[in-house]
Amino acid sequence: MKRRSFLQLGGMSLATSMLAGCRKGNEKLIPFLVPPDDGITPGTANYYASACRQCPAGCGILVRVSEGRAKKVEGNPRHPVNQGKLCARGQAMLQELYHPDRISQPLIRSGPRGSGQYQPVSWEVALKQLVEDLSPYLAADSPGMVLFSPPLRGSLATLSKEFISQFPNGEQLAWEPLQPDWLAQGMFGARGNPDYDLENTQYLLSFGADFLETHLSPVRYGQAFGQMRQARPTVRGRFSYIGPRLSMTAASADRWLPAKPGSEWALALGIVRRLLQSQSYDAATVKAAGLSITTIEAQVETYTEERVAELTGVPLADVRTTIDEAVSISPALAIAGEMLAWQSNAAEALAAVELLNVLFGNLNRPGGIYYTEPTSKPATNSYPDLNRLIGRMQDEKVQLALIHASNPAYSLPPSSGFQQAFSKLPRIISFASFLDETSLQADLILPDHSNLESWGDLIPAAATRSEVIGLMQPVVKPVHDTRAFGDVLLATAKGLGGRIAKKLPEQSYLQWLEKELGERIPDLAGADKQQQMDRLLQQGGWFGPPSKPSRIDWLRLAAPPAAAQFNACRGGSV
Amino acid sequence: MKKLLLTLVLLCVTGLLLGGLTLLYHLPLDTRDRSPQQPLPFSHLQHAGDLQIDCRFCHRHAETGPVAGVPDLDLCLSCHRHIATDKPTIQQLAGYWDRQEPVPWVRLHQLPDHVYFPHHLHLRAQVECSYCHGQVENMAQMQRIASLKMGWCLNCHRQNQASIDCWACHM
Ligand code: SF4
Repeated sequence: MKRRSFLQLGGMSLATSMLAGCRKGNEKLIPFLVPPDDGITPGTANYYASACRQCPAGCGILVRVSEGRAKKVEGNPRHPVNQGKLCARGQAMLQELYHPDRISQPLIRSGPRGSGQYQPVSWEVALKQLVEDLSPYLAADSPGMVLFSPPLRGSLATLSKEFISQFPNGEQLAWEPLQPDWLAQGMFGARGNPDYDLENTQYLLSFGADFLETHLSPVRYGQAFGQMRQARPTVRGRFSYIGPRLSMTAASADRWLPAKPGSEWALALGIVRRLLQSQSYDAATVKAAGLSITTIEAQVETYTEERVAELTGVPLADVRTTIDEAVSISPALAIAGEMLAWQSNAAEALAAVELLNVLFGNLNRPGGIYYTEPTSKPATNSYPDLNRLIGRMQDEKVQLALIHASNPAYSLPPSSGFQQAFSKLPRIISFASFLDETSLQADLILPDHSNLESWGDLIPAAATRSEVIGLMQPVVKPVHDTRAFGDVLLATAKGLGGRIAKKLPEQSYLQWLEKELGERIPDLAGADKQQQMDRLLQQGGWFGPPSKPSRIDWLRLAAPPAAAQFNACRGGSV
Repeated sequence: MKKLLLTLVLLCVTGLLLGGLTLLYHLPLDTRDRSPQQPLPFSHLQHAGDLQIDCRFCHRHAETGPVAGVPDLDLCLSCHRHIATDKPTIQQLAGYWDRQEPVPWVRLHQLPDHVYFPHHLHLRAQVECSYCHGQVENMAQMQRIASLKMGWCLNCHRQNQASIDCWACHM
């Protein structure tokens, strides 16, 4: 660009930006029709505590509400999971509320499937349609139907279970890519997810666990990671990441070992081998686990540094230093992530990381892993369950799908065959807030409230040191003509009548929620129930006593890790 | 010679710029209407003057918050469901309620976004409403009487020994 044209352009943009600052005419003053019940003072904000359901971590939030509009979301300092912090997804919750593309009222498909042509209808019509669609499935010889949802915990879990179990051939499929519940099953067969004591460890090995972004409880572990690095005056915890992708977590590591997908666990066995050789393993834990050192020795004998380097494709020097560090620095902690769990050799890979932690002596000690009794165990399904369902859909054994808060047509690979089988289903009903890959296929859409408009209880998926039931409350009046999923289920049950209506007599989801919470929260047992409930809502949930330690199933370790083989990725998972 | 010319040109440009800016400050460039036509001919003369309704009956938040607030439609109708229901303007008002539509009043007083003006603090300091808003009880159609420029604010702050710290208003 010439100097002259640069100056011309610069002058022009300056002038236009100044022109834009000039005000034209008077603005409008739009009053309320009726002011909100709890009274507002214009210019002064109200703050409400609620909870974030954008991922399974279940953080607590505080929402700033001005003149009846939600303006800003921040972390709730009293919530044990996130302690006042919030991740980007949580911050973006307002975008969900005000998004211009949100579905603002019930829709019935008017064009061909996937065309996005819908006819807006009233809730009366939509609910009548839903009742009509579902009533044939109450018969014993009806075809199958399925409710897709993420793994739900708490009152929505019980409600949807109760609802779907009234249909003789109905089933619920709870699956979500970010769900961490494979950890409970994959590692030690414990009853709940692990609680890593990241804060107190000195050497952290992450086997494909992106704990700063998505894994388990990103805000909680992001904070713990900061403490591991900087909170202790004399030690700065070290961190190596083993996994093929340079994720944000991998980029925060001291060393990134880009192992081939599905080969990460070879390094775990390499470390096991060296721990045994140098006699620096924790003999007591090995004994408690009932493992025989000689057997393990025989199993991992071949995992020399050279072999590990060859299997993983990581330079030998890096493999060697990582093994040196892991063996010499204590306490060391190994955590396994989705990168391992989503491979076809997941069981073996997780067993290898598990074995490594046993040799480190990491169970129930500072800098290690704590297992606690979960506050609630979700109904969750695995990938093989999903495969079975897809098979039944292909065989036309399943004829109707209800989709709540998930987008399987996007999150499942086309090789699973889901998309094809799904688009052929005779009837699809969605509760989505947006037209996404899955809801575009739906015949009937009954849009759910957004996070900030809903009642609910949220139990964090990751283990917590104390028992937590986060509470969600509507902080604004619904922006659109939407209805809560729970309310729609209850209204449908009423519409269907008969046994299902008797089983679900509650008038609203809020009633169901209060009934469920009354059973689970001791504070709500007394006569001052309403005051206590208000108090819990105000502080953002029930933060109970320290969690009870959980039993560990040592027997699972009997599966010999050396039996593991490298399978090419076949899309299997635990 | 060339140097002299350059200096002269530079001086001219600076002078012009300064002159322009001074003009911009003093010229009545405020294009906003000082007494705009409102969607409904609401009369302060009648309500605040003849009927002597207290300002704070309608502008309810003046004492508690930074913004005095305009009355919600429900408040207007709390009287006008019963009073003067035969007048065409009141029927118009009722029409807004029937359509569940707020009345789009035209805004008279507006400060730029970088100014914080708290009504409640000024009321606490016993500044009369009329000091800024004029004798509204005599206005059938509202007018803006104050310039609301920074110099005007500062004048009053100086006279009454209120803070003239930048942060008092620009926070
Ligand atoms: S980690 Fe999950 S629950 Fe917590 S703020 Fe982020 S999205 Fe919400």
